[in-house]
Amino acid sequence: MYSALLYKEWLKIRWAFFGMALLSLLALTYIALNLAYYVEFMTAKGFWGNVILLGFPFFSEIEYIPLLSGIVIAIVQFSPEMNLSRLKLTLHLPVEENKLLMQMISFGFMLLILLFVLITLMLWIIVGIYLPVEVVIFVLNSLFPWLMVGLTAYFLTAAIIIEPVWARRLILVPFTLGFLDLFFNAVNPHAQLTVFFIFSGLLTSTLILFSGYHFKRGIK
Amino acid sequence: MENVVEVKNLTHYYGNKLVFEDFNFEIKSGRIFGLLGKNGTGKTTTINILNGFLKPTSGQCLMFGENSYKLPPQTKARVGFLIEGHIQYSFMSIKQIEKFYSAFYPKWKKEPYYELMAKLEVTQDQKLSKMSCGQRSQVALGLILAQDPDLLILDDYSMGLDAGYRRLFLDYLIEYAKAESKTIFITSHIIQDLENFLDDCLIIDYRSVLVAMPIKEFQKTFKQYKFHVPNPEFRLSKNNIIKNYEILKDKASVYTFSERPELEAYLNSLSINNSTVEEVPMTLEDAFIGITGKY
Repeated sequence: MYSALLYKEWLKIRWAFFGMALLSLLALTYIALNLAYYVEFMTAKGFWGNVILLGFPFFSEIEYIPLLSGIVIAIVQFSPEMNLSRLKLTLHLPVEENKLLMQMISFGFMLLILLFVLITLMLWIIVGIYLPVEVVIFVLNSLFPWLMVGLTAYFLTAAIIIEPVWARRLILVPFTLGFLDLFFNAVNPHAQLTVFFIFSGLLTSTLILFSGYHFKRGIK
Repeated sequence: MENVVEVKNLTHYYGNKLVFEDFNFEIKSGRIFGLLGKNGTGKTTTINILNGFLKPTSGQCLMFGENSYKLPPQTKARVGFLIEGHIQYSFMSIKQIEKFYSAFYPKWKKEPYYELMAKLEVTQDQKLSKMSCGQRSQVALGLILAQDPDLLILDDYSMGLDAGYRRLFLDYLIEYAKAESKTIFITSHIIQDLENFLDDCLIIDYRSVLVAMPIKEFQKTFKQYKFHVPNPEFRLSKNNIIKNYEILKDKASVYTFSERPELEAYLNSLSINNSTVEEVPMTLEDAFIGITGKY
C-alpha cells in the first residue's frame, strides 16, 4: 500500500523534482565557472581570504533554490489533492488518515533531502577543488540554514494548501514568512542554533495533521 | 436483514443555517436506496457525514455498525465511494489508476474495470484529464466495481452525463448489484432514471423528510387528482389529506396518499363537484415534483 501511495505522489511530483534538479545544476555550474574565474584572477589564497574575512558571497546563486524547491514541490503535490476536494479520495483509502498524510509528506521530504544532498555534495566538490577545507566548512555551514528553509517551506506550504479554513491559512502565511526569515538571517549558525533549526523545522511537518483534521471534519 | 447504514437523530447546521433536524433512516443489506431531494436540501451533506467528511452537529451515523465519524480502515475497504462529478485522480492514466487502487483493496477484481474501459474509445495510457465527462464516469464506476465493496455510495452519478452514459452507468450498476447482492446508496437529480432502479426511497425537503418507503409503495399510494374549482380565487391548504397542490386558473391538481373516497369526501366539504375529479397517472419524476413542489 505504501509503495502505491508513493507511486501516486511520484506521478505528481516528478516533473517539478527534475525541474528543480536542473535549476540547481545550472546554478552550481554558474558557481563553478565563477569560482574558476575568481581563483584564476585573484589566486586561491587571495580569493578565500576575501571569502573568510569579507564574507564574499560567491555561492549566493544557490541561496533561494531550496526555498523554491520546497514551495514548488508542496504545490505540485498537494494542489491536485485540494482541487475538487480530491483529498477525499485519498482519505477514503483503507489506511489510517494521519498515517496517509504523514506518508505523503514524508515522500516529499525524502525527495527534497535527495535534492539537497546532491546540492551539498556538488557544492562540496566544486569548492573543494579550488579552496581549502576551512572554506568548504564555511560554505556548507552557510548552506545548511538555506536547506532547512527549503524543508520548512515545504512542510508549511503543504499545511497551508491542505488547510480548508481561510482564517487559519491567513494565520499560517505570516507565521511561515516569519519562521523562514529567522532561518535566512542565520549565517554560519552555531551548534545550538543548528539543533533548533532541525528540531523546529521537522516539527512543522506535523502541521499538516491539523490541516488534514480540519479538512476531514468539514471545518470551514 | 442487517442494517448497513443507520442514521439516528441527525441534525446539522452550517453556521446558523439549519440543514436538517432529527433526521432518521436506515438502509438494509442488499437494497438499492435513493436519497432524493431538490438542490440544497442536504443530500451531499448527508453523504459527507456518512463518509466521515463532516462532523454532524448532533446525532449519529453508523456504517456496518461503526461510527462513520471514525471508520476503521477495514470498514472503509467495504465502502465504494463515488464523489459528485466523478472526481478521480486526473493526473493518472487508465492503467496507472487501476494499478494504484489495486494495492489497497484485498478483494480487487480488475476484470469489470477493464471490461468497462474496453467499451470506451480510449487507450490504457490515456490520462483521465484528457477524457470526456462521460468517459471519466465510467472510469470511476469501473474502479468501484473492481473494489468489490459491500456498500456503494454514489453521490449524483448523473452529473454532467448524457442519456447514453447515464443508461450505461445504471445498466452496469444494476447488473452488478443484483448479481452480487450489494447495497447501494444513490442520489441523483435526474429522478426519471431511477424509476425502475430503486428499492427504497427517502425524499427530503428543506429540513424535513417527506417520504420514506419502498419505491413501489410510494408509486402505488401517492396519487395526483385534477378537478375544476368554483372560481379562480379558490384556495386550498396542505393537511393530512392534501400533501401538495397547484391551482392554475379554474383547474386544480392535488397530491395525496389518501384513498379516492376520502379525498372526494374532503373536496365535497369544500363544495367541489366530485364529478370533475379525475386521477392523473404519474411517473416517478411527476410524483417527486408533486411531493416536493416546483419551487
